[in-house]
Amino acid sequence: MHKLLERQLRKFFSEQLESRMADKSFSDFCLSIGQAYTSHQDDRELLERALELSSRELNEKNQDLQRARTFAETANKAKSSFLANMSHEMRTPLNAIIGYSELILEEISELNHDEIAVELDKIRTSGNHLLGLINNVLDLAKIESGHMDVNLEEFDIGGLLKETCTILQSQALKNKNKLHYEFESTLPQITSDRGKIKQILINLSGNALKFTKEGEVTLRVFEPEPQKISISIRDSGIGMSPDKLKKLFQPFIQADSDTQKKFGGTGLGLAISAKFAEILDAAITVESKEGDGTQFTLTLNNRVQSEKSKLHKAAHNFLPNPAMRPDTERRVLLIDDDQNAIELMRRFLGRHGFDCISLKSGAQAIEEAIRIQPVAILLDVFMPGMDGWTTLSRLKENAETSGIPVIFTTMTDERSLGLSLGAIDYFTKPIDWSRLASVLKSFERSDCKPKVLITEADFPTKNAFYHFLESIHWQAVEALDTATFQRKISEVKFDLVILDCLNKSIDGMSCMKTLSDCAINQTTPVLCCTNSMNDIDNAELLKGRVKVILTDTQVDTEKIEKSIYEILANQKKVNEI
Amino acid sequence: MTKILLVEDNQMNRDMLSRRLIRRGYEVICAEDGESVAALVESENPGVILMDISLPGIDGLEATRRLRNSEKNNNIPIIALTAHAFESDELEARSAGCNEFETKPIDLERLLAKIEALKGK
Repeated sequence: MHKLLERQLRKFFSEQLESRMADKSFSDFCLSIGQAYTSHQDDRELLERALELSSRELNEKNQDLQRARTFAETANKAKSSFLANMSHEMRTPLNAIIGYSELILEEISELNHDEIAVELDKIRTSGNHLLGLINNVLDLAKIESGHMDVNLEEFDIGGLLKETCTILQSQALKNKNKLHYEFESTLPQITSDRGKIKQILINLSGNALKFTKEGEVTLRVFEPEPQKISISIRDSGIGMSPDKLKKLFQPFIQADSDTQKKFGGTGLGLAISAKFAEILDAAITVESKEGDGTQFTLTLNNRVQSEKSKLHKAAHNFLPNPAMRPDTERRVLLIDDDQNAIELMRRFLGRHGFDCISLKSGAQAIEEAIRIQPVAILLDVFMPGMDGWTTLSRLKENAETSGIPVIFTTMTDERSLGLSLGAIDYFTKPIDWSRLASVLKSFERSDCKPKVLITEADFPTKNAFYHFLESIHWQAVEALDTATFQRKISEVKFDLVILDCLNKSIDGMSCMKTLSDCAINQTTPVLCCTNSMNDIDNAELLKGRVKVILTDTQVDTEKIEKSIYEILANQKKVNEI
Repeated sequence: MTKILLVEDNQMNRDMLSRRLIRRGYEVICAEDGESVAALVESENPGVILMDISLPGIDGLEATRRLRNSEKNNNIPIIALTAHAFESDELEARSAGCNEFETKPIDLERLLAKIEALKGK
């Protein structure tokens, strides 16, 4: 007990009671308080120890969890790459199995060996079934490892519905089903991944046709609410019980195991469709009653996918007023081996005030592009000499031409390939002239486009940047090594610098130093991608002009795009003040 | 009659595909590796090359690049045939200089359509 308290109490007791009594009672009292105090102290220590133990335990558990998570992630990646390799290893023998069956089927068809033909056909069909399974498993693996790319484009959903029905017509006839589609002709265009939506529709309608006999399957497009679009697939087939509905979207699980025997299929179609829908900000719902048909509905939550389009508008508002370039500088380079196509293009572009220079093959494209500095290059695919794909790759590899927007104008419809190789847009002949005009208009003012210096060496990432920057009408300038970077920074005023310190040829420290010493780019915002804060000057960080994206593997384009918008928004605020 | 150069290291696949192409009326010459491509192109002057990508030694991508960068015969149509089915594989083949890309197992009708579209270009 506290000494002071004891003395006070002793004084109080001796005033109140006779000294002997007081002494005795007081001693007892003190003793019991002392004991209570000690036992309280013990309890406290015990509690503290328990608390410490349990928090240590919690900590260990946390670390275990973290380890387990890392392990699971690594295992998942390993699994995906294993699947990709397995796919290759399985395709090679399958090629022989399917190929030889087809070869022998052809050879014996002339010899009237019908029984052998029937059995050979079984080998071939099984081979094809296995191939379908491998493709599906590969799709799932790609989705899980995050390698499934989304290729957005604007398209007519009604047209896609017709196409799906055409593809499935022969399958409909097998079970004597009628396949219809319904849509209003006034439907707006939608922006999404056409290929994936098509695969979802084929999966869902294929199922509907499989589980329906002598009935009807109807595909219908409608707008459940503004900005949303739904496609329903209704069948008059066998339907499902609530129990079966629950398990529907799990991989490898069909409504029941008998189903597999009776109807075939891999059990992966719905799982993949659901994953695709998830990637596309869409949802698949299902209503069904046993014996009374099933209706699947795919709903795209946003008719125009990705909120980037909204942000694009914000970026546009921020842009300086366009000043028209003098007519002599509005040059377009046409590369096409078809003289008629060139004439047509020349006439059309002439009407819009563009000067055309043409080439019959891609071989001289780089020299010519450097010489005339066109605002855009229009490129055909099939040409003698160097074809369009190679020409585009060469143009994009050369630092002096990689910034010039390239538009494909061609017969073959390989839009997503063209765009992934680095083209800005893709037109199939016959060309939609009004759309081409509007695309070219956006290039007219490239002189006053805000300029961005980028140091990205990784081709796909660079390609993604170009697309993004073009889409907000910014111009990208490249510097792939430190010396070039320092030269460009001292020559040109940039509106933004994206410094990728993960590029081995870039010395982050000295680039940052150049940036802070350079007069014309003293206030230029800098986005720095690095795996170490050592590259960054603290003073610059404090001034707020440098924004750091920490990453140790690859540059994340999404993050960069987001940061660019943030920088834009900030600058806008400053300008308004 | 279009002459096709089939570059494929797997003996079974080479035998199978060459027989199927011959049945369809093509003349087929075969190579087992990327090294012999240049010499065969020089001596046989094929109208189309079907190029497997995974080959021992010089792979199909490198063989294609060498052909595209050579002085002569650098614009023969090349169709990549591979069991690698990722989009990135296609992209790689196209950037190496292949005009077309087909995955194995081969869809013969589709391959024939591509050969017909490209031959003599």
